[in-house]
Amino acid sequence: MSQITRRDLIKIFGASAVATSGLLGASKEAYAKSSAHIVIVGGGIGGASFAKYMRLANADVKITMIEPHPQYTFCPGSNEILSGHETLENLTVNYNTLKSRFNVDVIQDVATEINYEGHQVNTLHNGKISYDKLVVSPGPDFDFHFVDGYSAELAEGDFPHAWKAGPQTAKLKQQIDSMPQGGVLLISSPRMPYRCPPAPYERASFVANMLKETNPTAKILILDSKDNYVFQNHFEHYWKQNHQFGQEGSRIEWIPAKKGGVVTKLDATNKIVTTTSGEQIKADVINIIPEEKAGRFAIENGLALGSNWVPYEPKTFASKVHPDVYVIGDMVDAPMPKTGYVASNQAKVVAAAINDLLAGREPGTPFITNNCVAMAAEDYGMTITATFRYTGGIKDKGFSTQVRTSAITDNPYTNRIRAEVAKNWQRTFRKDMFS
Amino acid sequence: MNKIALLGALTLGATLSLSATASEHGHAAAKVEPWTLQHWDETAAAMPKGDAMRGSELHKNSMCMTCHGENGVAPSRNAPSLAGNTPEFIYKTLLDYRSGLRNEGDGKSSVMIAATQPMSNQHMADLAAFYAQQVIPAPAAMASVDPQIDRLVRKGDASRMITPCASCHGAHGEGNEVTPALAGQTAHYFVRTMHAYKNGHRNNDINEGMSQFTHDLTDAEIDALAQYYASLNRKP
Repeated sequence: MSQITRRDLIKIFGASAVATSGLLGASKEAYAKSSAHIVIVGGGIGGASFAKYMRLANADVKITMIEPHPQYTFCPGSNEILSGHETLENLTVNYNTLKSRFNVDVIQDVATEINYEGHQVNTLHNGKISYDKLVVSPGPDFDFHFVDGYSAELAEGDFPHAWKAGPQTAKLKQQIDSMPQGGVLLISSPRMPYRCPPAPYERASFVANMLKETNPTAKILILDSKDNYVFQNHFEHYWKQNHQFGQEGSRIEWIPAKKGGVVTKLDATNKIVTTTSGEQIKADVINIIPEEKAGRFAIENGLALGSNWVPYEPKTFASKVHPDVYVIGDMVDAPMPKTGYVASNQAKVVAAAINDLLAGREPGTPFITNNCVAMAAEDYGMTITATFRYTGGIKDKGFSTQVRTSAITDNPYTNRIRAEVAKNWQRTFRKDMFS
Repeated sequence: MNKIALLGALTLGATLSLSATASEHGHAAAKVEPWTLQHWDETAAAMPKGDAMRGSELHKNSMCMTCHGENGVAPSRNAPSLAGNTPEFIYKTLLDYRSGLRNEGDGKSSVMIAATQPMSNQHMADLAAFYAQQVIPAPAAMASVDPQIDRLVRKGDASRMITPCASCHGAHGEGNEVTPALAGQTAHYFVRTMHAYKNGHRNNDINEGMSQFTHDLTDAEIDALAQYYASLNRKP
């Protein structure tokens, strides 16, 4: 782009085309400034991946990221904080490398409103920011209304969901560590879709492994709003071997939805939950993982078109609302699990598509992978490799899916290698975006 | 489902704090004895005869090819290519991962340490035979070599007590017995390895036979050497 001046374009295409039609999908303003301005809302995994890979694809565009927080704490790996194998500090990164190495202008601010026709996004403190292309990646918001009596305030207080790594994770750890001998941790696992589907069970596993040493008579009760879950065979395999799962005295009990696992009410004062079957259950620590929906910024700006999740054009992840606005990450209504890995790969698709469009090329067809690694323990890992191939059709939201899951094995070496691969993934995944 | 009624029994500040297992993620000092030349000579003499066919099966079925590539040519810049390297080098490297002597810390060696635990010496020799048989593709040669780098490779630098790289790794970076081949190696991996030697995170070399030469190399020299070897053809 940088070599082509406005005058060159006028020479090639004629003044009227440049002046009126927003040629190549960019605004008139873009040509005046000689390079497109790409603005990102949200500096999580999706936004950070996009910023870096957009820069790798194009040295000339101006990239601005609007993110309210000075740091980002990774959710992948945060269950291991509960068992003392990981720390919040180790999972927390800043935006220095994106700024210095990848020349991204990171504005610490809150984006409030999109003016679609004016190509502007409004912020709380920096006023209106003009864009040629806008990438929206705010992640999900939590939806507390499915459990009567639960709220964002309680989550910040004595009932942390810890589904966003940070102070709530530390609070939950402190609560679990302080449980009386023989105490009960209750985990309420939500319906699909939610961020990182295996994580409630991974959480139960890591905590159970710790309790086995520190509080061996304590129990974990998983009340599930589903009847089955990903990696169920792996987790049950591990729990049978290590926590007498399915037997009298099991350290972990799992109640599916059809057997009354859906939590409908929380009595915060007495630490009692009520399930669909009307049962009342008291526990020492109650960890309700709330249902989710697209982030408030996306909902309030109409990107979800009245639903809870954001529809998109499968080839480029352009929004249905305006072709210069792109949507990625957990908030997107894609036939893909809500994982950081998927968000980062959607981000790369959008970076490539925007780069192609700016150069006047037809974007390529996306092929998105999800390598999901989970652990039941530091020496027991499991993997899913899924691929999502763009079909050009409308069936299955535009993608054909193939999935391969690791097989159950009693070979301890294989289980350990898988766990090491999982840890390696976490470490290198963090580095991929933030260093 | 049994109702679980829990006594809100008083706990007298029984806050259990778990000490984080820092060694899992940090750099754990190797507890293994470093190599002596005599010990290595005995180990090399006792190395089983490798079977490349069996090695090929292991390479496929033990997840090796995931990072090191179908034919031992790494598909990513993070993992080394093993194709065409010397059997002694591969064998010793696997031994060192299994014993934990090679542990660069920060989780970087954890997958290899885990992967080598179930391996016998015979498995390692089989893998070594397989990789030695594979061919690393000839890279595109560099247009010109910085005379200072050329000098470092062929003459060394007596003022810094740096032996010429070529005297052990070969004039074409082809390696020699336990000294690895470098020609065609992933540049990023080369740089990482040199820094691991330089900052003391890698210490599985015999009598500091490699690390002593890295102490005085500059970052720019390491980068240039990486580019030099990445573009060197083993069989000119």
